[in-house]
Amino acid sequence: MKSNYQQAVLFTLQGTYMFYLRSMISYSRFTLENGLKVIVHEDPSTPLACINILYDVGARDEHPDQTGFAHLFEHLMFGGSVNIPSYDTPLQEAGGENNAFTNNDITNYYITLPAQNLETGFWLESDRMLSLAFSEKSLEVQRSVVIEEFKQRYLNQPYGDEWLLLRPLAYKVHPYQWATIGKEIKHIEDALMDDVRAFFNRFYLPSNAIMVVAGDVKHDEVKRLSEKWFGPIPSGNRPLRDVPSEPKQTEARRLTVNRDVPTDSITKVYHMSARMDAEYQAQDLLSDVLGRGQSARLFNALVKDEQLFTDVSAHVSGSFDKGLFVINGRVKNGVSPELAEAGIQRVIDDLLANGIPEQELIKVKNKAESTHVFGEVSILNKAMNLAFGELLGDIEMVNTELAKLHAVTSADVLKQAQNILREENCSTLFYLKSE
Amino acid sequence: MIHPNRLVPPTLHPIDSVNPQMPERYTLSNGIEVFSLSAGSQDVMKVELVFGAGTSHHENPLLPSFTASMLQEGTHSKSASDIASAIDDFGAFLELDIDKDYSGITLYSLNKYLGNTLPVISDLLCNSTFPDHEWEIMRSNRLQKYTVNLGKVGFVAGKRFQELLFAGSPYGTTFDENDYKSLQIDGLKNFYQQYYSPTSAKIFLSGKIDSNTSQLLEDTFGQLTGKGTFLPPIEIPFVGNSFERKQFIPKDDAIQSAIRIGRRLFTKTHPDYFGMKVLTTILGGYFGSRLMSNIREDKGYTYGIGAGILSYCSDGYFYISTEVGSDVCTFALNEIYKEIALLRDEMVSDEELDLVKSYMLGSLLKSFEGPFERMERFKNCHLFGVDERYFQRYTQAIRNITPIQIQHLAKVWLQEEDLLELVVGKY
Repeated sequence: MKSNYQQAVLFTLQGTYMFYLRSMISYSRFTLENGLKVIVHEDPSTPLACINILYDVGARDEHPDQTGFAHLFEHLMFGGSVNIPSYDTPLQEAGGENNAFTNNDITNYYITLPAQNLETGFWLESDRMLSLAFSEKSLEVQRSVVIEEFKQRYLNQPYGDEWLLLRPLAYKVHPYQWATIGKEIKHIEDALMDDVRAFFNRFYLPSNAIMVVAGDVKHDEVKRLSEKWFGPIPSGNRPLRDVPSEPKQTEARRLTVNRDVPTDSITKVYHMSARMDAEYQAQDLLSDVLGRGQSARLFNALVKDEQLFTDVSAHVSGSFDKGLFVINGRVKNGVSPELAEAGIQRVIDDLLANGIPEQELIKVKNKAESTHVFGEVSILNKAMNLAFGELLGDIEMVNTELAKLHAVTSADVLKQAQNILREENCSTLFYLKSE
Repeated sequence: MIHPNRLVPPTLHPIDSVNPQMPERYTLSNGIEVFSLSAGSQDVMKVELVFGAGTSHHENPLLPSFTASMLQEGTHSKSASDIASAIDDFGAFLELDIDKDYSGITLYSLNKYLGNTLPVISDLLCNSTFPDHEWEIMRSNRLQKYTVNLGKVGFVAGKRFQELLFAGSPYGTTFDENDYKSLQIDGLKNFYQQYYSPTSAKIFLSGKIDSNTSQLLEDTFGQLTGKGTFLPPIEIPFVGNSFERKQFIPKDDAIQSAIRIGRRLFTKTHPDYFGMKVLTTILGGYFGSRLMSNIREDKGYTYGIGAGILSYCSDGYFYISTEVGSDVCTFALNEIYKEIALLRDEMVSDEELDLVKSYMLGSLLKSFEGPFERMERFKNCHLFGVDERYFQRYTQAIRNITPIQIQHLAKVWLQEEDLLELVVGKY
């Protein structure tokens, strides 16, 4: 993330954005000659416009010896472009705000501004797609900023490095084995201007980007502005992705670490499907049955009844390549981690043995539907979902996702539980307090 | 292909007016005041019941906080898990919030299920039982989470900062591990009896509202009886407090230190309130602010730094907040004071002030997007003693303020000797 300045972060890293929207969202599309895909969503109920530009590059596209680079690069995108020395100043003068985030799959930039100043957004975004200023000062400063981000979020927080440990345990080959922030601070310290240029030239191309313009805008005007500002940018060669797939895990993996924390923490991650696989929705609902909220099975059994945990939940990573099904809990002080882990297994075994009653499935579907509809309240949410859909190859998923969720049966969910929730498919991290 | 002239920015169009939609108000037959704002095209609703039962209403701030949380742990007819299911079965979301002045029961629901979800809320409000079993679980789990939070420099700094700034005031009440242990369930029950009654609520309703919604609200809440009325905010006299200006809480293994600098100020009704909004935005209220430009974008000492003013019903404060590398903590402090001094010593340029004005107006416009945001803005006026013309006054004040006035405010309110400085971590 560019900045933690705005606290109203819409999406967490771990796949919340995978909940797509329900009632029909209308949109129109066109592609510029240089390959830039443009999507327009008209919503005249707001005086605002937003521009969301997604670049098809994430931490999975990094070299194993140069991790954290996609995210560092995201910071550098705010360090001035070829014709405009400051990105933020003109946007603020236009009454606009912006931010960006990088995850393992994509890098996404967004602006919200009063609709009458829409062209300022086109001017700014097109200039930095054309070329950056590549200022040495900016690189030097953003290296420091990102190192401070690394410290603040991953090193100076209790349990902050949990995912830095889990990823390489679960992924042995696929680049999901490192976090977006990178494997270690040294990779960020070592980034050079030549690397920055090469990264820009390879990935920041019109043919590797999707732009969504939403809000109080009109298709024809967006088309005119797109052709004017983005049309002249050279297409470049869209990079081919060659990411190794993760081999099937065949035996249980375990890691125990001791840290200066007051409470033991257990995380179990199981390999699961990719976002566009047919069984994804059933797996997603399975995670809700087990671990979404206070009516879920894990919470009821292990926090309330048996009191083995103070907190326990489940979710799916929702990543574009094969992802992770995650169960995480903080162990109640005085309870041994082995006993607590056995509790998780009992809940899983019970589900495998007895299946899921229809009413329970309806409950998690209702929650999913509700999440979709509430997500439609913000134009920025809608814009991002359109961009994700387009990138994943099915923009219409913004309108069809809910039907897919509703089509899932109890038998489907049980089958996925049998597929996924096996110990030999699992990596377990015991993150324990030092004695 | 012809390149546009990229050296000439597109013409900017100023934001001419911010005219936010305001809610309708009416009363249910038992006198409960309802604010109702209909907007949006999605069939969703947010129903918020607010009570004058914030943490400043008890000497142990944990007591009001636990009371609010325990509302969903059992009623005469429902167990904690029944309540969770009753909400989740219909895809709804229930939040129990508390701040210094108020507490709230908030329901987010699809309109089509409102008839199922609203009665759950009225049940919590009227029939909560505070079961011992659930209480013990919640208390020990929260205490355990508290000890985890004590490992975060930001948490420790935020908590201590409030305690120091508001020492001696109900806004500065403090708690530690012992206060978790000494709490008694009877204390919670008494607080509930005293502060939570149907007639001591105000209801804020936003979303896509139709006549059916109003009828549902009347049927669910309008017939309930209660003894209280909505409590006006408590009047808290300004108690002068004294403390060492510079405070330090060591944490030897910290690789970043948390810094908080600030002072007590005033409520939203103070004549300098809007001016201080502008001044603190210049200092640290947006990405291009002076503190961000210097401490982050020039020196790279931090991932983020911010400044602003916040107000309660009867008080308020100015703050600067950041986490910086422990090795550069002293440098960062020096730069922060340098930026504050600059605001006192030199007038802000017209160019910078114009930019901040545009940014603030755009940000205000954005803060009204959708029914929930609009209601939130209204609620934050209504509950804090200002009327809905606040936004017109705010817009005017932003437009009219001058560099001389900004400098004057800095001289009055940002003298270094008046500022509390707290560092948690390592120097």
